[in-house]
Amino acid sequence: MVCFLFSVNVIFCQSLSNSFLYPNNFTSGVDHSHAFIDSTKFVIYLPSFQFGLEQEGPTFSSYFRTDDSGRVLIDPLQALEFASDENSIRSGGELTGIGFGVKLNDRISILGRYSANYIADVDYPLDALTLLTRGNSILLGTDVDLSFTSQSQAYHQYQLSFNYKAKKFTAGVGVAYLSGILDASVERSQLLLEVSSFFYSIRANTDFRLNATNTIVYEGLDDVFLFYDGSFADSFISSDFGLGLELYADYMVAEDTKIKAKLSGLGFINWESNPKNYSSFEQGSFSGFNVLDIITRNQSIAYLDSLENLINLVKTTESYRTTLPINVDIAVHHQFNDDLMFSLAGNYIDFSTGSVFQLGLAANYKVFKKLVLAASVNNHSRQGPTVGGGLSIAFRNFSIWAYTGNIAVINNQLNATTSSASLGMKINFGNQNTSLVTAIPEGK
Amino acid sequence: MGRAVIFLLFLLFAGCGELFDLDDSTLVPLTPEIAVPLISTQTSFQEILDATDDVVQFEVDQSGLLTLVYPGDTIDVTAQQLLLPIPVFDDILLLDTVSAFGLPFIPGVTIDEAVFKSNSLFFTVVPPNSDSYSITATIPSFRKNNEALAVTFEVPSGMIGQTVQSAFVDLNGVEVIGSLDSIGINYDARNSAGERVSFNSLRLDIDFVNFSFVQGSFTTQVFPIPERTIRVNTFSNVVSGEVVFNNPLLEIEINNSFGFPIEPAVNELSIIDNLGDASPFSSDLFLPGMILLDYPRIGEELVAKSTIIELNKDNSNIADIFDQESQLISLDIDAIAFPESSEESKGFISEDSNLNIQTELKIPLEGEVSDYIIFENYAIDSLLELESVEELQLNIGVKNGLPVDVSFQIHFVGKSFNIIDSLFNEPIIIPQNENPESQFTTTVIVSQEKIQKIIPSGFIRTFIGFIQNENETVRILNSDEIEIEVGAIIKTEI
Repeated sequence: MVCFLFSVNVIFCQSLSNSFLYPNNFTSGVDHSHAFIDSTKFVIYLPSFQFGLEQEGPTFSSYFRTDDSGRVLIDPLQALEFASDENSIRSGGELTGIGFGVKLNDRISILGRYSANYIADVDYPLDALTLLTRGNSILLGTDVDLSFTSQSQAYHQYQLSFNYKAKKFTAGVGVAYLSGILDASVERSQLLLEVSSFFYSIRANTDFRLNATNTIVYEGLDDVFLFYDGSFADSFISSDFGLGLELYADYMVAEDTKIKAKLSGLGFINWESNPKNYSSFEQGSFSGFNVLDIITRNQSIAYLDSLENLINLVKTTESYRTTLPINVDIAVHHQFNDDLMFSLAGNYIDFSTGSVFQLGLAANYKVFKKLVLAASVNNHSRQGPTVGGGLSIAFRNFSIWAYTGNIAVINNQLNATTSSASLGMKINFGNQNTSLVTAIPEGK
Repeated sequence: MGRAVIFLLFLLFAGCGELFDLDDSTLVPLTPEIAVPLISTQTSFQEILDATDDVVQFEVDQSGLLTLVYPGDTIDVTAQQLLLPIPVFDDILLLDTVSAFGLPFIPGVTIDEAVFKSNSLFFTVVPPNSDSYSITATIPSFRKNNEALAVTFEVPSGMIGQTVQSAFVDLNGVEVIGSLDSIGINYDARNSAGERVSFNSLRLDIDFVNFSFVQGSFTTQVFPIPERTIRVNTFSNVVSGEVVFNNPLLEIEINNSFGFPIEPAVNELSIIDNLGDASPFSSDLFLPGMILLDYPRIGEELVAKSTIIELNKDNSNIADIFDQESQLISLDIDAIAFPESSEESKGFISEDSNLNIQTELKIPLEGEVSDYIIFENYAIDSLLELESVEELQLNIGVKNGLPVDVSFQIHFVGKSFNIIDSLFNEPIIIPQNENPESQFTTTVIVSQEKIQKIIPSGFIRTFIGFIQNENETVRILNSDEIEIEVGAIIKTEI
């Protein structure tokens, strides 16, 4: 049941969050120091997911409403009310299918896991939404900026991490084989149109290139399809391959205080299986047909052809490379007493269309032996503060956790300008330490 | 606590819950107002006519006056049509060692000189005994390399009673000097003892008389020339009004490389209007002896001489009978060789001789216009794409560089030719430009009701009217231009 729910959610939800804000019992195993926390020798990480979402302008939910019969309606006009000059949806998501951790000895541990990841990073201007909903008749005489950017992709990740602990210092490195599922990435984004008043001649100034794999089929301006046209079964090990690298380090600055940092997203994917490139580099104009072409006998004209000639979108099938958004996490954990721990964490992500930064402060309180509650305050670079919360529960070898970075939108996270969440479970083989300690080593 | 966990999970997934039924979601209909350019053209009257009329051509004089040129079919009368091979049905029996024979040719033509083309001759004989013979036949008037044509052939012994044939003698390029009526021939036959003998069975065989060049005396001959027409498309769709052209003219250019005088014989020359009624041309030029085509003289065999016959308002009634309803000019003109009006009696025909006739009707666009309205139909594949259009706004701008006001209307016409609706309530009048920078503009709102009404249209019919404000001569110059711009705002559901 849990797996089913996850599989549904991964379609719509996303996943990069300020995960360092929470201690190990809220994470899915990406924390390289995790294997050294307790006496566990072997850990199986069951399906879990985490996602992060940040939206500017219309939120995802702004595009949807329901009618009287409860049917979901897609309503871009409703979204237009919330649009600003620049609008974006940035999100990352990770569904860990299965993972394991093995502590070989007190110094070395190995972690391995499979996850399905996605990145949705779309930035679009107000003019594009206005054009779609109200047309261009209110944009006459001005440059209409339709430039949009996108790095939207999904891929499988097979990660193997090696961690080494030396007294107060732990270092880890993870390498990942990436296998692409789908991608739609804007390499060059300039799409400028100017429509003159009264006779509405169109001037285009484009320097645009969209690379797509298994996502877009373009046959003409009136014949564009967005759908996954690849083979998901083949995508697990596909020719759209890439490599990822993750670096981790933590240091016990005091008996009750640890700092840690992680650099991830160092990697790339080469898209080679079914690449399509749509490029336009034009400075042209179209003022309408020549009336002679209309009145000349036995001569046919096509309006869409003229507009397409203006943009001159050239289709090629060249393979291309995308890089992953670089993700930096830094945190300080301080164990205040046996039941209470404070965390201060920062998260920086460098998306292709811009960067986001958030800083959070969290308190984790062990209510009793099996239950830990967490509360946090996050301040986002673009959206301001949010209040988060979560819990983790341990049952012998089995534990489960859930948290959200914005509890105010817990019943409708996709309507939030900022949100993050994590949900997961794991099985420890050994004596599971149910204390809060991320920072405090076993035996304290 | 278990309930708390379940509650927390519920809230978390509820965050995405409203999207779970996306498969059944529907895009809310949008009705954007899309502004698009439709037409932008700066064009001349000549270019418009060129696009709509696949017949008309143009000339421009030094003043820039535009002239419509309607070419007729080019007619070629070639010598090959006249110098046909003439069969010679019987072989010619040479009754004596010196005799003569005649060859057939075109009646009324007396040859002084001719050149054979693609034919040959041979001799046959039946020996009276078994002796062998050597026969040499000479035709003095057949000249090859300036020498009389002589043919020698041998009759072997033992051929008594059998027909012996000489080799074929190629006559190509052999000249004939003198008349074909009596061609002298002699032969010298010797037996094996060298004694001269004669035969009563020696025969000359020529299958055809075929010449590449003939020079001689001709009597009057009539060469029939195929009838031809000139189609005038421009004025085919007249609705009303009148145009008076100041100086229409019919030009017939004849290039003649036959070496004799030719006079055209006008059997019929008429203008036929859109009702099929014919108005005949009349002109003194049609009287016998008024026109004699120039021709190359003897010694100018490779030269073509040109004669241009122009029927204009000064020498014919063309200005009276040609108007905006004229559709066709029908010409039936034959050629009379050595007409009675010519004193010349000698001439030539070469195999390359040719009578090339080109006819053109020329209409200089200068005259008077009285509310002249024409129409044109344009088929529409489908207006169904307008079905979702809620409103259409057309912004129209015209710079009328013609020296007349122009009226314009578009009718939407059903497949059964019924007028469904019109674009404008009344035809718009686009005044001639007094100022090159001034532009006539108008905006038309086409309602959804009208759009739905015109969707079944099979074609649109454009009406263009030319209105002359004052009773002055109008001249359409090549530099007169029309500039048309049309933009549209389409409010449509997507």
